[in-house]
Amino acid sequence: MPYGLMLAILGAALAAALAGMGSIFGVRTVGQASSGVVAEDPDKFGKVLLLTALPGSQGIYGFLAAVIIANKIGLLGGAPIDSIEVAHGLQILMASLPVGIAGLFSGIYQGRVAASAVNIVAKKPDAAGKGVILAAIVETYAVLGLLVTILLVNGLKF
Amino acid sequence: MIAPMAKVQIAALESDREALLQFLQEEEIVHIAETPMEMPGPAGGEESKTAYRLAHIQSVLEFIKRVRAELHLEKKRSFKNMFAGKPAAVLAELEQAYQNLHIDDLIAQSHYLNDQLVETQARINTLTAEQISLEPWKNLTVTGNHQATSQPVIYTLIEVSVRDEESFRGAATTSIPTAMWQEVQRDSSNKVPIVWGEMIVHRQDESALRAFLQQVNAREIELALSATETVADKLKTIREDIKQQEKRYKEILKDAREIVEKERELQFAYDALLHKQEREIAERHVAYTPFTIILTGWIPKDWVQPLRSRLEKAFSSVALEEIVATEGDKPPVALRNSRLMQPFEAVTNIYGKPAYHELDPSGALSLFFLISFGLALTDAGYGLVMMGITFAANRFFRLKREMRKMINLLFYGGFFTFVLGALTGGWFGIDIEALADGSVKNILLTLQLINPIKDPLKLLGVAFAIGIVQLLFAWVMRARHNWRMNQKMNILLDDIPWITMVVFLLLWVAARMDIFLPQAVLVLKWITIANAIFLVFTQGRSFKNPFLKVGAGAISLYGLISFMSDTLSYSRLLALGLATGIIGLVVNLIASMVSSSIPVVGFVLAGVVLLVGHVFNLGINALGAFIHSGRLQFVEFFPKFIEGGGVAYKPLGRVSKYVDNPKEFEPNS
Repeated sequence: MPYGLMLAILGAALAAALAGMGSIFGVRTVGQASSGVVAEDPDKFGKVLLLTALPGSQGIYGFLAAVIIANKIGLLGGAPIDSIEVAHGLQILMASLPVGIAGLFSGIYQGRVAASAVNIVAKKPDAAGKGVILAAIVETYAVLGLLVTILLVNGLKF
Repeated sequence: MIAPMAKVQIAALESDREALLQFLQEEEIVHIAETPMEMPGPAGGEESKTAYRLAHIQSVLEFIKRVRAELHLEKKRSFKNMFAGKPAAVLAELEQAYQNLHIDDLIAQSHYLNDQLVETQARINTLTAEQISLEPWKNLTVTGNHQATSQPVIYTLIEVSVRDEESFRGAATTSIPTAMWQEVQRDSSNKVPIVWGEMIVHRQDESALRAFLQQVNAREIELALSATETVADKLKTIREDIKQQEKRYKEILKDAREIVEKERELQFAYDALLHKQEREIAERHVAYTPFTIILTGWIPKDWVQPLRSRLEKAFSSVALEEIVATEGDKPPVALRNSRLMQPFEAVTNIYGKPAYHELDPSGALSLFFLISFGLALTDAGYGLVMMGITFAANRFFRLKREMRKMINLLFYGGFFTFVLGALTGGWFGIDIEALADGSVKNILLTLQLINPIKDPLKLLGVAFAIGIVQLLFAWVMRARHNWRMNQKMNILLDDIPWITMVVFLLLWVAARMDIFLPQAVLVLKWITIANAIFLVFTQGRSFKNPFLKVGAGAISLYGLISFMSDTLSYSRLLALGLATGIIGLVVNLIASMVSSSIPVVGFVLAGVVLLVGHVFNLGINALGAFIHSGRLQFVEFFPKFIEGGGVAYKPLGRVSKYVDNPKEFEPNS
């Protein structure tokens, strides 16, 4: 049943690609704001780099979920893939959605919050830590999405 | 704890004003109270003068920077001072440097040298431009004499593009009878290839030549040559001139070295002035009478006596009085903890200061923060690496107090990561069950209590348990706060019943699920219900209307839902911990694939993959662990017992640019 395997791979691909896209958009937004600050004051690079890296974690979560799925269906060495039923493939595909979708949107919006926090770095560098925490609150939902995906994939028995 | 503050007034003679402010600035102990009305003192005009002089010194320092760059004089920084490159000096040394330096002379000298440098550079630029324009004609034998109008022949120098040359020559022979064209130089390397040439015409055809030159697409070039000088001669003089100017430029730079050597003194003087500016700003809050000044501020209570005796020792007539704080006063907040707990102030400081009457959460959050941090990393290997790095940083680098706090915090974090990593079997992402049999494997396996990849639900339970304990502890902290504020009724009616409510509810659920005391399930059920009823009747007590009292009490049970959602938030610890472990696993997997598939250099490349991969994994996940552990404190823990918004204690001190305050490197303030 090659379709089952195909669906499972689609799940892994969606997890990595959607969450990765969230990170791409998010990092782009913060990166642009950060360049503005660095143009004025290159010494603040360290602080804005931290903010720019924040929306990058969604991509890592997506990548992580993809690896877990690939491991589950035996693509990373281990057991050979003989047959994955279509139903199982669909189950894995659906289990990949939480991290993918939550990663996509939380990446984009965490990017916006972090870009605003770049303002804090520009005006009150001492309070930069508060901006990091505000941006991290958006990330909660990507973390929860990852957790749900891990628990679901782990719970699947076949 | 939050240091108790005393509001004090310091009275001194007007003539001691500057000395007193300098004394206080060096002591760095008085947080000057903002007066509602800023009073311009007798020294009002001084402020703009200081700013003006600061700008001047700044310009000299910039000049030095430029000279340094041109002379390739780089400043060296020792290994120990990697993170603290500035010199350290006390205020008196700065003042001394400022007094000893002939700043006005230095400023004048640097401006003079700068002008000279700019002028010489401009001269070199002009000469170079001339040289470039003469270069095509260097083979020409024409001298200034040939160009004289008394000559029977006119030598006209022409620049024309290769494309137009053909038609130019044709037109010349037809319109000027005596014209003769001779090519001097040709340059095809340009985008538009160019031909330079000489047109020799008899003086009688001068008018025809002028008319012709206006029509064609060519440019007449005039060279300023003296009577017997050829282009080659002129080029030679220019070259020599350039050499001369360059030599002169180097000499000026050499003279500038003298100023460069004064850089350190200038930086000291700059900071001395900067601190003077701070004192001038502080002076706005000083009250004046004809012969005395009065300064109002806050100092930690236990500092009143020591400061008084130090003041009396330093000044002949000075008085320090403790005064009663008025209703609207907001005392500044300084955190004060034992050396062990000081690193956790760094976490509290990210959130901001609690209000003056509230509790300092630094000590309370310490264990929870470290456990959260450790669980979010869960790799004993990474923990050891963190401990090693932070220990080395502490040992080998000169660090400022705030930086040291952070480094110590990360050291503790590394230790907890090590312990929790060993308990969950995380060792650089290596699957310990796949290790070769032996005592190492046995030890590691015995240490491992939970395998997070095989049994994530168990670890999720641990994360929730940590959350429940910390959230219950938040209520204990609220009770402590209420006790301090003398609101003991609130402890009896709010804090204790809420703690028992959650505990009984959890016990009842555990009993029902046959986990704990299954025989007591009925008793627990009724105790829980009784506790809930107690809450319904007490939580609405601020309302007068009896229906509202009970209604608000019933709604307050919604607090159980928020308790649950706060607990769920701790699940992030499992996700972050799994992320570290699995990324480490993937790094090892890629490395093993590299080493087995690439012959000869495979194991070298695998080493690179391992190093880069694990450094990246540790960096990104330690950052995540820190941020998310912090968030659990700020969002879940703090709001239960503090509101925040305290004014930070910022005593009049030194905010420096080039010179550090040696006090900042001392372990305790």
